[in-house]
Amino acid sequence: MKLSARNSLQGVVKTIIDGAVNAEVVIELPGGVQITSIVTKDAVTALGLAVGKPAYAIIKASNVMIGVDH
Amino acid sequence: MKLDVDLEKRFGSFHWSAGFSVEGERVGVFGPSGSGKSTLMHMLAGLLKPDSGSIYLDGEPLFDVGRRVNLSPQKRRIGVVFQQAHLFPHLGVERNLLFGYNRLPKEERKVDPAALVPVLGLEPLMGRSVTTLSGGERQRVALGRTLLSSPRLILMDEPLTGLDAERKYQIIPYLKKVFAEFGIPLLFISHSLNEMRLMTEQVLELTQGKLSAQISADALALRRMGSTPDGFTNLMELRAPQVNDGLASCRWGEQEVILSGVNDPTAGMYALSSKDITLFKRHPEATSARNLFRCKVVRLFAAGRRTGVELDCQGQRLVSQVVADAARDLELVAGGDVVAVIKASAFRRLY
Repeated sequence: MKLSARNSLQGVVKTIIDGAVNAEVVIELPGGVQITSIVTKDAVTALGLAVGKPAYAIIKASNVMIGVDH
Repeated sequence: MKLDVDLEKRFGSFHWSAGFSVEGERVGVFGPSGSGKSTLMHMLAGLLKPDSGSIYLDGEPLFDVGRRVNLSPQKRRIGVVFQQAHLFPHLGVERNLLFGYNRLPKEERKVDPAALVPVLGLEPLMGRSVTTLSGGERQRVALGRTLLSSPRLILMDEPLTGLDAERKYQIIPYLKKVFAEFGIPLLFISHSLNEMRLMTEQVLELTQGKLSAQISADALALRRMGSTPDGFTNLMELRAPQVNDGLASCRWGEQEVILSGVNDPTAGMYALSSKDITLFKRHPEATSARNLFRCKVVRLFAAGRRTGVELDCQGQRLVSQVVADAARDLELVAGGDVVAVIKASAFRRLY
């Protein structure tokens, strides 16, 4: 999969919470870090997403905010 | 309209010194606060006297130091619509509208109120008091009043800036229709590139009282793409909306676009940031994004530290931005094929 987004993080689907149109999908990365994504429910079906299945979180570099503790 | 300007004006530490010659029906004046946009407007309207130079409108001098010409604001017949619609609070909508019109000799009346009112969508407001109007409605009344005074040119100074973000763009279709229909030239002043692109054919860009560019609004937006955190805004005209299970699908040229998070979608203008378009070398087997468009790369260009990618999606233009590494990894070249991938939630409705 060759793509322009600089961040393609492989993990495992931890939870899927359905809303009216969208679903909140949490992907757990190696080491236990979790990433939350909002996708359409159609996408959950199309990708066959289910708890325990592997998936990639894909994030464009321009969409990552950075914070530091003071 | 043909406008020839060559002016000097100093006050305090500010120095306006610029000349330009522009021909067109819808001209934009763009620049940040303090760049001299309002100074220019006030000098054109006759509200501020330049130190030296000249202003010619369609070959006629409005101001010329050498010829000792300085027409009064009334004689210039330039209509001005300010950021705050200055309506008369003691008069209703109708009497506000007709204020200038009724004071005009009959032979100078060029715009018929009966024709103007529906174009600006003012019918339901006619019996109202102006104190009950929303910001957008007030601006439409102010513009109507100015148009009915039959000016040779209308200056609009940040007419959308005071309106709330949700609805500010809804006034644009009215503006476009009214200027197309009544043939009065417009000088549109704004610090918003999107407004410039929707309203004007060409733009005068001002920087600290000097003219820094005279180009199309689209070219200006592409040039500034690298220096704005929002990237480039793709303006997409979407048609024939249909809703299925809360997701809307619209026609975009020959293609279908899926959008979410847009309540009660209607046909109209939508915005999509260049930042929200991810490029794939090949069609991905599976992705959660609902929009996958096969595109040809038209050209690559530098956009600050990123690379701008202009795409042709079956006749529709899209502009994406990627980091330079990504352009290399994907071996992006003009004429190459890519797939543009866009989440359904990335679209924002303008009007």
